[in-house]
Amino acid sequence: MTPGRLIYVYGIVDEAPADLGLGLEGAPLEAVAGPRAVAIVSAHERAPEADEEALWQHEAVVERLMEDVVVLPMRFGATAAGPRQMEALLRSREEEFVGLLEVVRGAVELSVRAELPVTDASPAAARGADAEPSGTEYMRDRGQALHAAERAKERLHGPLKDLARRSLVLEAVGARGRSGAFRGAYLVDVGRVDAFAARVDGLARELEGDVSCTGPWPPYSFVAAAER
Amino acid sequence: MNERPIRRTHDVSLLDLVDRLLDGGVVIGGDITLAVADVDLVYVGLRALVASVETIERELGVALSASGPVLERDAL
Repeated sequence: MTPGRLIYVYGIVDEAPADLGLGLEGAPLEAVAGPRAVAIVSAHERAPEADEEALWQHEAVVERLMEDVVVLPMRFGATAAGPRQMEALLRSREEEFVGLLEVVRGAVELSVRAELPVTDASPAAARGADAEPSGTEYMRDRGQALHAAERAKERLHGPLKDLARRSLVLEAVGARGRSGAFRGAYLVDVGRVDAFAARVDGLARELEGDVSCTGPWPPYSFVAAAER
Repeated sequence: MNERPIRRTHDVSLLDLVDRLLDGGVVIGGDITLAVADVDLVYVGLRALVASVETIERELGVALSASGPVLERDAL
């Protein structure tokens, strides 16, 4: 690796695959070995441009690694000043990385987003659209609607959580005013991916919501460290 | 490794990609990090792109993607 160039980091793996291939901007991938984990990197004169194509290239590298080894995917833009600093990082955070590699070994991340219909059985519906609610009625109606939304989301999340090794309910972006919006991440054993997808389809029909499931992704949502 | 994507319509996948690569993953903190320029702007920009598709779908009632993402313009 040429001295003086920065290194861009794609992921931390348990062992380097034999054939690494190419990374961002066509740069050859290289392995920087620590005591018990290995960083997969490429060397660059300057930090790579951040755009949609670069994000997909980063993702493609991590997905290729996932086919052969256990990977902790890096957040896009992780760079180090050189291999020696990367080695120092692998040493200083060795326990964390080794622990996380075991957490995600044999599993992938699946993403679920949903817009769930919230059944309105509140007095507001009974009053009809023209009836103006009092302040008390408004607050009560609002509370009941939120409870209904939470129940709908739990009816989706509960059965999915049971199929996952770990799960996270994340803030649904832009959910303001849309109480049925849901976003979850699930760490699922590779052997259970098809069963998970089938359960998502079944729940989407049952709940009559707009539910999308994407994946398998590298486990980005399950490698959070204290520095996040 | 299951290599068959469950479902990756472009817009939903882009949203998931952006959320994962720019908000998830292992972070290298401290002195050795050299920030990639404008990552935050890219994050906002890509989210705006996805949000605009969803806004068109909702307001015009047309389907540009098989399954609409859940962004709103005002969330940006």
